[in-house]
Amino acid sequence: MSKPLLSIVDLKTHFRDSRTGADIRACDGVTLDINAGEIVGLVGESGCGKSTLGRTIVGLERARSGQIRFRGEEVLALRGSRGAATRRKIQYIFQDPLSSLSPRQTIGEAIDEALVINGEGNRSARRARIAELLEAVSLPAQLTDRYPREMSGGQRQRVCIARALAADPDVLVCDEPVSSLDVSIRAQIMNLFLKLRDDLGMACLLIAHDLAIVRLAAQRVYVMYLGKIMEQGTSAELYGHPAHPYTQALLSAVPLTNPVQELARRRILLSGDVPSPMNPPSGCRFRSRCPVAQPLCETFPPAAALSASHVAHCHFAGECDLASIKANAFSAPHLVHVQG
Amino acid sequence: MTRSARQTKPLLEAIDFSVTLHTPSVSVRPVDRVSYSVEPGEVLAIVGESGSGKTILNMAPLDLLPVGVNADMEGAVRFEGVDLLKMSASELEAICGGGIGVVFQDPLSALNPVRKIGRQLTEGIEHHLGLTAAQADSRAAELMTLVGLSDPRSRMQQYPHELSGGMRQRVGIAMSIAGEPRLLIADEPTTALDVTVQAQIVALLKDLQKRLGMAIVIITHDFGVVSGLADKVAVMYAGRLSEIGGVRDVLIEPAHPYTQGLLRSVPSLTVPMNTKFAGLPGQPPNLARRIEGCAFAPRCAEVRPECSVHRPALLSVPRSATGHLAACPVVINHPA
Repeated sequence: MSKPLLSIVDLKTHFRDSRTGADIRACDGVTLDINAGEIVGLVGESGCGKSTLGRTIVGLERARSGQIRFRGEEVLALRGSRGAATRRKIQYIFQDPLSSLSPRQTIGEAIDEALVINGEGNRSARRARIAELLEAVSLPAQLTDRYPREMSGGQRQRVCIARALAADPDVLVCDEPVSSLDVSIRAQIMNLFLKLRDDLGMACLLIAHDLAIVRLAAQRVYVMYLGKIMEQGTSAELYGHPAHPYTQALLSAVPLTNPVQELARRRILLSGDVPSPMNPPSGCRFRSRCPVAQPLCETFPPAAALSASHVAHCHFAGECDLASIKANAFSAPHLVHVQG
Repeated sequence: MTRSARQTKPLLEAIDFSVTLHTPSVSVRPVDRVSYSVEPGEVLAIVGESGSGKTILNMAPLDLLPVGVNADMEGAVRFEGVDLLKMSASELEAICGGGIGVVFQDPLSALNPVRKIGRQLTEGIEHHLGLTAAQADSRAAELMTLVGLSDPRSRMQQYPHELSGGMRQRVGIAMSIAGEPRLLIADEPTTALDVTVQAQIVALLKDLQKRLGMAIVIITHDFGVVSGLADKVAVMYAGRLSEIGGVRDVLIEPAHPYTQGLLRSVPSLTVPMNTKFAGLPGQPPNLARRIEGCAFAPRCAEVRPECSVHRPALLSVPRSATGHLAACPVVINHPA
């Protein structure tokens, strides 16, 4: 296999709690690869550190330790204009397009600014490029002089994507790019990411909590919980044979729209919420919510390789199937209590 | 549908209900002649995208629109036979928190940040049930246990920011059922939550509905929440009902092209991998402009010339259960 385009190695991003001075270990030793022309999914509940990881990759947060290798270069070690030029090849798409666009800039001006930063000095060349970029994201050229407030949410997200493309990036880090959009509009934006991948070979880190959306878009998926990767694999492996109890629980929580199927299926209800990243459980981080946790789980689970691409961090990886064993106990809602 | 056969009086009934909002420059009509009913103990889901009017439809009759919004209401919304639109402010106040409980989308903004959880709960209980402070205190602890919060006595000493989003929504639900309502109106109660927590809240609502025998109107854009909870579904588009019926009829055999498109837009875990995302083209209409004919026509694959002439009425869907209505003469008169 060829070398990955972007390699994250044992990356840690910690924050300091201002009151107690304790470390908030938001992203706590993550290793992840993105190959050229590949959409990689990163899923997990809110608070699991997936956004922190994405923000650290593009330099919006400072890494405590670890490596970010892009095309063989160590991004964290690069300084000055060299670092800026390399980082520009990794662009970020935010969840809320309205707050990531200036209300006082027309969309033409917003994209123009990105082109200037990218070193395009010729005004007419920039104008031609703006038209190209708008076409690439399927926006009509006459929108150039419009302001973000005059557009719909879906159009605004297209503008953000066009602005990111202005830097001629190799990777897009997309943090919940469709979750602020209406259901009927989401497909338009997701299909745009697929088109960018297929037409331009754009690689993408798709950070999302919606597992069904990631399943259709990503070739490979990482599942994150409390700052660590729990399971990784190709979409077919992860969705077809989830090996980690957390992945199984996440998948069983995806609601079905068919009421007959929804009422018939067994659902693994996880109790409680994600514990505080200031004080994560020792050993396996999921053990405080895991329905099949054993005393052994107090030691950190080694990576269990189920195939060349499928890895789960669980002492019982691939051995347990929550959907069948514990389903009865967990399908009764009154048995579910929030743990303090 | 044994309930309708018994001819019970509906608990909540909206008849040709319209809301017009006025701003200095324009008047918009986010709710346009909507009629539906909720039987005692029944769960109705009102589904729509942002701007469809689903929240205003439910909040305007209770006078719960944001302060400063000028709303004109027409038609009638009857709760237990009494028109909410004709009630005085004090009568409405007695009903909200009494016969009708309301759960808001964002539990953080629905709770007072500088007051302890316990005090916020007991306040409503004392007010609506006429209990003493000590009685209200133990009732609050009961309610917190009922909504699945462990260790209620110490939780009651906490402030909202000390709880997670899921726990806050449980507190919000505890507050809304404090007055033992016959009807719970829940506005996007799971939108701000994670899928795993969302599943917990849906299970909780279902459990409470069964145990307390209350009716629920749940306002949502998420069909996944609807399928496990609702008995009946109403789909709203541009301020109008486009389809209404039993949950199986609407979600398994939707008649209206909008409902079909919306359902297709929700990717499932069973569609073949490496397929494109299905959705709807275009975007919802601007309600500040007058809509002639069917509001969905510009995005509709089945559109015909007559669609832009008359506003389609809700008609019975052929070969479906009674009460399954859709506002699309094209699919009803020319079934595939």
